[in-house]
Amino acid sequence: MPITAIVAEDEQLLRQDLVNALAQVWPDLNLVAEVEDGATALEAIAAHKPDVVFLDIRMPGLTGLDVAAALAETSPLTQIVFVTAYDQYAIDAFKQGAVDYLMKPVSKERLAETVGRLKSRAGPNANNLQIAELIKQLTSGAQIAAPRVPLTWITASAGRESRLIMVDDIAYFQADNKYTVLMTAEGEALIKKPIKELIAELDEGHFKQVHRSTIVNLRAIKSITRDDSGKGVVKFKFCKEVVHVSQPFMHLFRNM
Amino acid sequence: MNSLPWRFWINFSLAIGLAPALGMGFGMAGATRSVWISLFCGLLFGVLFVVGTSLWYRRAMRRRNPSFTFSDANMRQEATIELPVDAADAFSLCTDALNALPGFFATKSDPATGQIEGITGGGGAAYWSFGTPGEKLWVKIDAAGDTSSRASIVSQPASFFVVFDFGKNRKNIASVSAHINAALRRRLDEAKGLAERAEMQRALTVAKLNALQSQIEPHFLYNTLANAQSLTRSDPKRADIMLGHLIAFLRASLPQDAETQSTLGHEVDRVVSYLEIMKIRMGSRLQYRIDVDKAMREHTFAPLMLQTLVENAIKHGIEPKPAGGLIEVAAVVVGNQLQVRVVDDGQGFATDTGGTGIGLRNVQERLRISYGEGARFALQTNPIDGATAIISIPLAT
Repeated sequence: MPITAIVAEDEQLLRQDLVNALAQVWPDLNLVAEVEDGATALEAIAAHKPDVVFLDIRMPGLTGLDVAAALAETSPLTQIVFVTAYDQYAIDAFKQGAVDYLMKPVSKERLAETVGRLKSRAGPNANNLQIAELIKQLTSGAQIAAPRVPLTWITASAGRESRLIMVDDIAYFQADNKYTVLMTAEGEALIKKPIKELIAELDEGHFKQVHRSTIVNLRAIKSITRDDSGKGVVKFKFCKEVVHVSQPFMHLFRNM
Repeated sequence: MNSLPWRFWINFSLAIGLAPALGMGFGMAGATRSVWISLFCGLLFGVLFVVGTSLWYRRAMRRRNPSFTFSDANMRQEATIELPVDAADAFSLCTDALNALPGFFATKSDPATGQIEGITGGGGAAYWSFGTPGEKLWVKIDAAGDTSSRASIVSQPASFFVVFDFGKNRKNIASVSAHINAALRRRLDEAKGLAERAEMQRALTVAKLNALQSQIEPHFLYNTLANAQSLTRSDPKRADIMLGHLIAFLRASLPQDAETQSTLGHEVDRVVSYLEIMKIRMGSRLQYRIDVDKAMREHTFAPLMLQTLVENAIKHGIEPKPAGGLIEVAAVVVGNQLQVRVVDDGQGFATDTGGTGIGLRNVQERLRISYGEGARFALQTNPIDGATAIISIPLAT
């Protein structure tokens, strides 16, 4: 029985190229499907249960990594070969995890090597369960690293549309029932994320919580004054609204 | 009671002393019965006058400052200011500050001893201590080091008879020190202005490099070259076209000189090279339309911003959408603003997500550096599909 394969690559020229190269170095390979996005790839793999799948990493819909992660359950015996142009992070992981991969542009020699390994089933021997585990680490690793970089923009709804707002343009965030209101020079916008989560994600050098329900942008502040009751009142450079500082947070502005 | 100003007591005793005489005068005029009764009336009148005016004054002052006490009414006000400049410089600073007082006239100004004296209120040199309006000021400057000095300032009513100064002396001192502070800050700002311009230049270079880095990402370069290689076999003519676009794109992207301004036309050309490459790679999934007429192309436009927006539209709008989509770049003049739009009908973006990407920050940064507060950048979802990015900058006149 000839070995079956699927090629998943979104760029048509490169897909054609890979298919042609495969036809040359592995003439008796039975190519059962050529697909151009992640979701179709997963469907085709589920339907054909091929022996080998060539997966591009950057694809519309599901990425190659997403498809591979799903393969552990859908088709555990399918061998995965990743195809990528440049993704140093992933490639380092593949090398360590003994996962097969090809670099674009794919050279015929490198492809022949891979084909040889696939035929003999020697060399890279990570099974799909291990690959799924590796990918989990890869993607979660990216998520763990993310919060350390402060947010630079936020998408919020303003009226009926969503707007993308740079955090530097926001004067303050204020909790309002279920929502959080962001005030900018162009007016207010809403997000669902609560103040408590926001303060962890914003740049702590520029954003300070001044009240249980308020975060202010220090760079947008025009003045801070004390009213009769000793509460602080913050005025902003580009909006008329004012924000109150509650007593426990007043120390932030003492002798700054 | 000893917190009351000495002038208050002088005036008080004057009033007490004068009152009997006044009372006597009244008594005589009224031809009342006895000298003692008129004397008593005079004394009572004097006391009531002083107590009454004091209470009235206190009430008036408390309306402005609830914690007012009579010791605040001490009209002679003194202050010492430390200046981070040498004595000669401090002298000129103080002279300027004094001259800024309303109607100030210097009666003495001696740089050698560091002394300045003068009087406010527009009376000029001719004043007399019994009735002239305004306040007299003394300033004495002492050197405290090579680049520091101390200025002692005194202000008090010019007239001996003034009982209440309505805070004028306090205001004089505050005004002089505020004026000196402002002058010092201006000098500091000037020095800082130079440093800031240098900093801005540096930031501009960094922004340029950052944008460059995010722009020619290796992924793009390798994928494009892989495509070109494939085309050399299957369709050499298109490979030739593609490499032509790649060369144009790289040439426009790599820094040639220190130029910080480009024209919109130049920027559009670069974007077209990029879109043409992507079109060959993505095939029918990508369509684009450019709507920038010849007159628009001449406008100056900061480099690398349009490129970032188009890349974003492909990366986050068209690429993730299996069916692909259309990107439109258009420029219009609205009032005195040049508006450049990048519209796509791709994936759009969901509300309530945030990002840490450097692309948009670079655009923002570049706008701020090049145009200051006059520029705007907005990115919003379209009513049906995709997103619209708008840059508006003030038209160069």
